[in-house]
Amino acid sequence: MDSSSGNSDDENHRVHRCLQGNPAALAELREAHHPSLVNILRARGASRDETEELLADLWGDCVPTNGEQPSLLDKFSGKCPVLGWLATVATRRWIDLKRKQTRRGENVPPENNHAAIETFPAAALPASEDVLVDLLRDSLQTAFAACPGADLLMLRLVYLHGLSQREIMRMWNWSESKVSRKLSQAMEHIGQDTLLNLKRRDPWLDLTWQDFVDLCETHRVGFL
Amino acid sequence: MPNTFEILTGFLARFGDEVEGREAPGLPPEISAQLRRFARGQLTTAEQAELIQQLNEHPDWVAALAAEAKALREPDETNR
Repeated sequence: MDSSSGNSDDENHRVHRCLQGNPAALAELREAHHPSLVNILRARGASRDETEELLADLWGDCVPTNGEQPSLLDKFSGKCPVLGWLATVATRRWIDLKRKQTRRGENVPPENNHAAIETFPAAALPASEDVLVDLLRDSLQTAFAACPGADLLMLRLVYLHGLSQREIMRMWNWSESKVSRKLSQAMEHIGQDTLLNLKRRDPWLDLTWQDFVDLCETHRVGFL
Repeated sequence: MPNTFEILTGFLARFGDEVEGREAPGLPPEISAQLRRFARGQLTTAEQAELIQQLNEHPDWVAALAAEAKALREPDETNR
């Protein structure tokens, strides 16, 4: 296991074989991750039809086409788990699709939008590079901006600079339990505010806080 | 394994405007003195509020504050 990326050697080898155009390797990759990707997209708010279409395109794009188009997996840096990477690509494409639908004023019933998706084949869906990054960043920055300065400073000192709660206690002349409570509350508020900001912007997107953090981590370590 | 706050600030450092981590070059002397007093718990509430506001405007100064607090560690704390 490569502990820095969360990928096993088998997984890295499988991706490598996929890049060489090995159909068995691609089938293995699909078999290993398709059910999880379905669950992730459905949990994030995609309809069954949207999920099927997005994943059909995703797996299709993983197949290299004799010099015409490289495999999507070519962009995989290997710095994060392949499932997290695929889920991020699929989520980004889905957000892009929903934004386009919204801009076009489509009001498609959640479980009956096959035709609408058909109008966005993979080739026409470049999935603008920053659609997901913009959403994550703006939601998070707004939450950070709303966080009281003292709370933010305390979080920075503890979680980025390694100060102990005892040291914070000394600086603020507080009890250790008050420091502990304040740190937990501050993180909780950042999480709640971030998801609220995200929901205001894209009401159809259902991300849990863990989803949000995972997506940030995938980008932080080098998504592409 | 990075903690959640580290992941979030790392993300903002890469894609947003978060600047943190490096010790600020040329920290104003009056700020250095204030940071030292803050680390020792010697600031009044009003002084603390004013300094916190400045630290949030200059997040690169936070490393200097952390260094002041760490300098007060007993040898057994340092080895922890």
